[in-house]
Amino acid sequence: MDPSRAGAPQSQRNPHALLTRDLIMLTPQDIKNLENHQRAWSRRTFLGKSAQAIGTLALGSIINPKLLGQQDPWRGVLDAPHFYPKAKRVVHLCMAGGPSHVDLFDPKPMLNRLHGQPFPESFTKGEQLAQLQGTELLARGAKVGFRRCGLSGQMISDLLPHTQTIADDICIVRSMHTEQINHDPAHAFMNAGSINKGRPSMGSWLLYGLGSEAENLPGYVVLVSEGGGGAQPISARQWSAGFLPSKFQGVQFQSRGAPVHYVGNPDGVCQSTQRQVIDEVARLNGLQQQQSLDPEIETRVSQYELAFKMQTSVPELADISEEPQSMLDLYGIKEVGDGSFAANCLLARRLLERGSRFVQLYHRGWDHHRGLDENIQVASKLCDQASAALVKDLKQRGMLEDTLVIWGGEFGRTPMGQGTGRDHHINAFSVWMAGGGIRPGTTWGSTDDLGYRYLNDGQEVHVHDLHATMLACFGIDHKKLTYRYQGRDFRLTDVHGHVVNGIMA
Amino acid sequence: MSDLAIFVGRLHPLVVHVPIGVLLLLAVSEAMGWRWSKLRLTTGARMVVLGFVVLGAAMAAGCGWLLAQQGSYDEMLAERHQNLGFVTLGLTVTLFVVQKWPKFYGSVLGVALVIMAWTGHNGGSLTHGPGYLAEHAPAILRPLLGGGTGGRPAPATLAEAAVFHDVVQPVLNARCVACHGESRVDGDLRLDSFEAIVAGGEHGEAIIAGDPAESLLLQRLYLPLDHKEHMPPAGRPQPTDADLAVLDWWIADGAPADGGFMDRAPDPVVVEIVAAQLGLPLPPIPDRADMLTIARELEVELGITIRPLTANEPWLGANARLAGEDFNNATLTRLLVLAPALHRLDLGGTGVTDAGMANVAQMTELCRLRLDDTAITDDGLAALSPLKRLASLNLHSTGITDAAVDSLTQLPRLRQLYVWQTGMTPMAALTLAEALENRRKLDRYRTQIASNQRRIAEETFQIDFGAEPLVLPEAPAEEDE
Repeated sequence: MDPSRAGAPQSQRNPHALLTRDLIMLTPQDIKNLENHQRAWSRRTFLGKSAQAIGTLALGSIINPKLLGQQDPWRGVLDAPHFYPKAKRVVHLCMAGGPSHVDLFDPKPMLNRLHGQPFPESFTKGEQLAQLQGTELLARGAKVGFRRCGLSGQMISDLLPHTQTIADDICIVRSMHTEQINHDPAHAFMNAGSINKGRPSMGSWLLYGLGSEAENLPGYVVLVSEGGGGAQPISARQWSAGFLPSKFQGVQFQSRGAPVHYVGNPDGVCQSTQRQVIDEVARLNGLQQQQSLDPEIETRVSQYELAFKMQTSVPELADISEEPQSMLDLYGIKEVGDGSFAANCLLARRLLERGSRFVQLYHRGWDHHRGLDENIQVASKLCDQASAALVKDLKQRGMLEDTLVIWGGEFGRTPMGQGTGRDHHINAFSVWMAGGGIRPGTTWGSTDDLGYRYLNDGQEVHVHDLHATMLACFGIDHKKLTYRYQGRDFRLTDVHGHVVNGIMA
Repeated sequence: MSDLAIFVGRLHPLVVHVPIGVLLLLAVSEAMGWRWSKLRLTTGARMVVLGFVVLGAAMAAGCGWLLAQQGSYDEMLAERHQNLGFVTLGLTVTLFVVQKWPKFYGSVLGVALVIMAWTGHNGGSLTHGPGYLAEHAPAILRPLLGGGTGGRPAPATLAEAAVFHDVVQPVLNARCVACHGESRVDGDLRLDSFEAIVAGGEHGEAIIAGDPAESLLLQRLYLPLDHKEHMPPAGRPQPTDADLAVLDWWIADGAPADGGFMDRAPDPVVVEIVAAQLGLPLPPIPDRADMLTIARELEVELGITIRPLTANEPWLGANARLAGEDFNNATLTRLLVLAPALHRLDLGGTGVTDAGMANVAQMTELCRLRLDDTAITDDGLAALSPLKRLASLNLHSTGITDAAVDSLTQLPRLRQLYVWQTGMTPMAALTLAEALENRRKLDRYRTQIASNQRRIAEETFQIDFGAEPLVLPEAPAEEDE
């Protein structure tokens, strides 16, 4: 049966789906849904600007009242995965800006030999380039060496000494390619498989399909780290739920200071008083509910409840005092709550431990158009140790076997130089994955001799393929997780995507 | 022996069917002529047909003799087939001689038909193995066809099926034993008994227990069909994917000689294949709807999550971690009702203790168990030995010590063990890993010993008496674990 229909019977259909010609057949329930949705939409627009995670949470405009019962948290539209699942959580370490694959994971001796010489025209003729369009193209080799690491002998740059130590736990995919050459659309493509606004991100799809196990914390959390300079803005639409109910959108926590602002009680209010307030509000809402039968009231009640729970769960989450100094050293955390990628990695692990389904960490500062040699050192230093530490920490806790770790940018960088840096590149880039159903110690796919383009050797991995594979790790058939919107069944991989069985354990 | 002789010899199966067909046609014609005089054969026609039969029989006998010289057939059976063939040839010649005297002619024709049928059956047994015809014959006919009543009855349920006799041997019988059996021993390899398989053939060991990739038997089966060394040779019935899966699993599992199939806790996929091959129902699995109903009730009651793992099967994963210390030994007993379906259980950070492990031990379907950050100690672990399917066990941040190694060695499927922040020293962890690996190797060595003992016995006998031994020693029985 079509899962989207299974989870969303007639009365819960997204009102957007109502076409004009349907209007003549509208039932009172449909009209009510439409009104509710409009109300929710205006509130969402208003609150969305406040950038307060708690606010974002509170709006949760949901069309499906089933999702809202306190005793019955959203279990996911799928009831159960399609086949035996390997993973139950994801942490996506998004290296925003586009790390250079030829400097980090894809050694190209031929490119080094050509360094400084004109880049062969046969590679670039008629190709779309970003800022290099119309300029003279010179090959640019990697300055830092590579070495074979671990028993698997994977090649990893000396820029990433800590990642080198987890070579046997990760699978490096060198044949990634995407379709978008600028940051924002490329992020959208990486997140939602489409650059069209209003399409749900992968985290939202997972929550929609499988639900969340966390009752006291959001199932989809986003953290954006600071430091390193050269930061591109990251738009909140990257973790939008799109046309899915907004309950499934990502919730951004603050990476500096307290993850959620104003979560404590005001002076003079204790938790029991707060409880009384919530209960009284719930009672009053219940009275209103009896009169108006408005499902939005239920939404409101349940979000009050989650917010109340987060008053205790978030401080507990953020309280890193129980972590020993050795743990902070493992991640390379200098100061707790300093907004660094390292601190976020530790917070991500704590979120995953507490049942969050999808945690996305953005680190900006990989957009090295200029000063590549120095800047890639900076970015590597900020991300390398903590990324490796996260894998090691998950592993020692036994969580790596059901946690999928994805490390990579929205695209790669040109093997051609752009002054002292490299330009955006979509024909080839590298990501690595670990844990949850991924075959460790494997290098998958390859690029041509100059790292310009992925090879059509049956191991090429498009972003859609990455999505299909990610869902497969969760036991989901990417063709079967759909949502009907505007008269058509949508999926994360749209009409594309092949599961890359070769990298699955 | 020249190539030409071999070539001509191998034409035997083609040539032999010519006189058979013609002789049968002759018999039918004579019978009809006896009934309706209009259809009676003329003397001339009869002479031409009989001449053709004699010529064909002679050629078939000649080819057959050449084929017999090439060997690799069971000598006794081949000799019988050969003698009967010559008798048939003689009878056709007699027929030719006595065709003028109807009295003799009729009876000789009858005898020739019977002898020819017997010869043909012997030829079939040479090619396809003795008992080929009897194997699937109706029970009444079986003794007549020389099949015997077939010693052991077929298992009625999967639980009764013996791992080698009922699961592995039938695959080999169907695909291999015709040429690697009693009547014909190609490559000096017989595959019709466990001892024979272990003994191997002229290219050495047929199987390496525990290592399908290194096992010659499987290597030959997996080669592409057009490869010279592929087995069975092109044109022969080829093993199905299910056959290969069974053999692969059996060897990977240490090539056990005896014991029940289900006692090996085989992979569900293999169970399904074997059930289909034996035409037996799958072992009962709990009803998905029932399990889910109970699971939902328990979720609400206990404040934990219990979710189905797949869309069509009852398997469940339970996570009590979020309930924390509220979940304890008493609440754990509530989960026992789900034991037949529980594949994953996360008790990390809960209040369960050693006393609760007796209950966990009853959840024998568990594949993944997390006990990290609990009060469990070495004593509790000792109770977990019934978890024969357990592949992943998480014990980090618990009070276990090196003393746990002994009980952990009892978990044959254990692949992942987490002992971070425990009293277990790295040396003990290494010892454990080695012990688990060694246990898997042990099966392999046992099989090798059985193989070598057989060889010793054979060689000794040949040195002492210069002939084949009559009785072979049994492979040593595996010790109980």
